[in-house]
Amino acid sequence: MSFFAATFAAAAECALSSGYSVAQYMGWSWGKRHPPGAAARFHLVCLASVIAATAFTLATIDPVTITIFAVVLGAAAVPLTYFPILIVANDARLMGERVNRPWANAAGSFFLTVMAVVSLASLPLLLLTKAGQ
Amino acid sequence: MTRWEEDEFTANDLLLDRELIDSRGMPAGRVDDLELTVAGPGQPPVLTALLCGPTAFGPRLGGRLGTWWQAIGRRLRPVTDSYPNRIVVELIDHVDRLEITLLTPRENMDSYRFRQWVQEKVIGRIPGSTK
Repeated sequence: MSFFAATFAAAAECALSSGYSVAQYMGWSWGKRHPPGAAARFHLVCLASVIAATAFTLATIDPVTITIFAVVLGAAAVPLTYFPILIVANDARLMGERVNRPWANAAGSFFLTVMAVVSLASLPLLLLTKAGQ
Repeated sequence: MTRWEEDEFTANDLLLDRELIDSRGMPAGRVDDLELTVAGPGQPPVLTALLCGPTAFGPRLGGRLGTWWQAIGRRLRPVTDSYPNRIVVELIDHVDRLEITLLTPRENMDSYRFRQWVQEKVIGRIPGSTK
């Protein structure tokens, strides 16, 4: 039961997140507030990603190995998404009066350093430990 | 007449990759490239249109990835018309840091065809797709 719930939730989340990233990047209508017919391309991407993921799972690759690699690669990519947000948060022309204050930047830079160390260490560690085996 | 939020800026600042919002507030794509026209010899280039879609973005990206992107875009378009989707500069209402608003609904834009096709051929055929 819980296995089904976890898998179902993860599938829905991954499908939607692919749809969100592609649709927002391309400037399409997106989101579950639209009926599927009104955000057709967003829902097409969601459907296609579920089908692609199912095909990938059925290709008899060990799911635990995929999970380990996915989590480590995800951690390695975190600074790439965090850093642009930090830059935008410092742009007064975009953020107006909500622009980052010095203490927020100090905290932000500290965590960016932590993330950079983690992400630089993750790939060598993954290879050296042979994915924790 | 287009209203510009700032008097002096670079294309990177306000134009390239900005989100397009149509006259009814709906997302209408992104600016993938710009069309500049030189009116005559010795005259400065003038912005005449915003270009949208893979056939505009591919050449801007360059390299092998750009060629692939352009090839995908070309296969999604009518055979007779290989020039990217244009939004003439007269249709731009307002340009600011966050988005570019247009004077026309997105249904009038060439880039709407792909959405129309997906809606008619794929999503519209699934029961319950209009709820």
